[in-house]
Amino acid sequence: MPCYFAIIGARDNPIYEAEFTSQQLNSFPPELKELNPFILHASLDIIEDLQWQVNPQSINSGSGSGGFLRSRNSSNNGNCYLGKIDHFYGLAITGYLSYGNMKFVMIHSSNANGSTLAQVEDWSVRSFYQEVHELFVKTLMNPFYKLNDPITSPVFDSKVRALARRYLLK
Amino acid sequence: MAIQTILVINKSGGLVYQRDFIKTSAKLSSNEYLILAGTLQGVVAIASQVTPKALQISAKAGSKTANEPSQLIPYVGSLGAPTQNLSDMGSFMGQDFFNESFASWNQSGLKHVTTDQLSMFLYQTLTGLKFVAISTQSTTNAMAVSIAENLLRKAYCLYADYVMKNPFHDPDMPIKCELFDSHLAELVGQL
Amino acid sequence: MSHKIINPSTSVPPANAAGSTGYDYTIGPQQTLPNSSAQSVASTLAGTRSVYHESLHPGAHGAHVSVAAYAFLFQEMVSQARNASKTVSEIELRLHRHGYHIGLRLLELLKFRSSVTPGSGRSFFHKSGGPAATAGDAVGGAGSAPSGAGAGGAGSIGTAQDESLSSSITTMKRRDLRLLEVLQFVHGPVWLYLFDRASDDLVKSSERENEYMIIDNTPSITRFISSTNVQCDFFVCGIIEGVLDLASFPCTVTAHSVPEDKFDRRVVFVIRFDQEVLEREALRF
Repeated sequence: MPCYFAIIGARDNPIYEAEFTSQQLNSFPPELKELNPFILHASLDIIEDLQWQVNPQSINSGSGSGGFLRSRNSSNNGNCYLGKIDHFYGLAITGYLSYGNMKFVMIHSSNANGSTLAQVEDWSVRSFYQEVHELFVKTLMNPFYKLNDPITSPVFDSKVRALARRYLLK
Repeated sequence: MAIQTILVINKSGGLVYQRDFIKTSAKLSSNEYLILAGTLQGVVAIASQVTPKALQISAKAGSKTANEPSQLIPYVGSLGAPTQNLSDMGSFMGQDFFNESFASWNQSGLKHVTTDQLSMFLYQTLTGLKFVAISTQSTTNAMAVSIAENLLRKAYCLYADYVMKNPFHDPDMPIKCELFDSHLAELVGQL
Repeated sequence: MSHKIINPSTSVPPANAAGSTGYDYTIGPQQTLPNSSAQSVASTLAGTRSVYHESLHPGAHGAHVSVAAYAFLFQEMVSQARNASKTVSEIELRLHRHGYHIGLRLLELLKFRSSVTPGSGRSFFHKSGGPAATAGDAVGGAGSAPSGAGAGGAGSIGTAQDESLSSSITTMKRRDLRLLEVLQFVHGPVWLYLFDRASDDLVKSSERENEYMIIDNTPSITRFISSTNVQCDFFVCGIIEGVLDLASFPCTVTAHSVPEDKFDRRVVFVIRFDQEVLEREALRF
């Protein structure tokens, strides 16, 4: 399924964007493609709310009684990966927050043209986010990179795309 | 052996540090100390010129064959090492600043002067900096000389830590560092 | 800054040209086919080594720095700041700014590293060069791999294992949401990383609600500097402020020399949080 991935900086500015599509799977239709950044930015409010929740994942998963039971083992539950945070006409949106509150957001589209809701595989998406997070930390190790500047490195780009191929496009 | 005064003379012969550790009645004025430093610098230069040619040649040959025993100054015990807080040795690791014998860089100059009243020891560094200690006893034996060299080398270690690593000190200018003062006083006090 | 016109994202050039240039914010997201682009980029960049090829593992680089070397570097930083400024507060501001950018990076790096379980760290070395491998061997092993990365196969798998730590992470460390959590992080891991020991105390001010104090009895980086009217510990202030700022706890940090009977060089770092932090704390928890 095609995906649109962006890293949003502290000033709500995109510092990296990419679209993951492949030949065998269809890409975003051109009229929807233009909307992607808007859909993504619309979910930022939700992320900023979840940012300060103790258990972001249990809240938005919506299981009524699960919240209470899960709060017991919340300490070993990470709060970086936010899970599926929003949906928009069959597009699923997942989010991830780095320790410096950089927002990693991705729009997942289903293979069919918008009729069925896109399914998100939590495990692989989480692994993808963790790997990109590591790449982002490495970007910060570059003394010439300033926080909240666009990441223009071709190596970063190619590595993110390789990760997307490994985790997302199966 | 009581240390009366420690002087530091920079490579151009200027006095950059002077400190008395024993109150004496006959005290030199700061101007007299400046003259003393300049004179010492001159005497060292002359001394290297009046060294007999034969000695100079043998010294050169000796430097080629690495450590000739006569140029090597033995390490004298834990001299003036801090007794209570061993961890605070600046950037130097271990219990003492150094713990092995070291080669003297003062190859052809003045090492010590002995009079009836006092003796003076001089330690020269590779960069031309000179550390001078004036002792109240007049000793001529070799042990006293090597003790003094050890002491002054430790003073040099303190200089490397608390003077050279201080951003507010300009090279070749008079040393005004409280930490150097206090650590040197500690070193001399524990002698 | 380039002066390119910002085009709509539909005007993206064909797929094979993109990817080799990296992300360009004036163009927008590049729609590439990962299969083809990844290989072409890998082949063009095979010879180059960037920060992305290094490992984040704490043992991959020497973990310790000589005090003397660091002291000389810091000495030069201070004298450069001194030469460039006119007033004492300007020197302190410059040191503060140097530290701030270190703090930003430290938060992400240390949190990420602490997510890696120590057991997997050992296996990291076993994979790269046998049980007796030193840090230098591990880096060297990774260095030889990129030549094979373009061709794919065993070589590229080897690099992926050496470079990436996140595959060995099961659960990421939690983000710090509460004031005390993030202060504990500064007091513990940050201090441990910088100075090889935790700070001596973490105290809440009794006078003001938003004021906390971190106390260091024997500050390491200024140990060779005789006390003058310039407070060189503002460098550490900058680091603390960078960490807290990026974790969304905006604050101002100042350093004060408060000698006590045994520790004549004791420094107190006063952290004054902005009002919004306390308001959020009251609302959320």
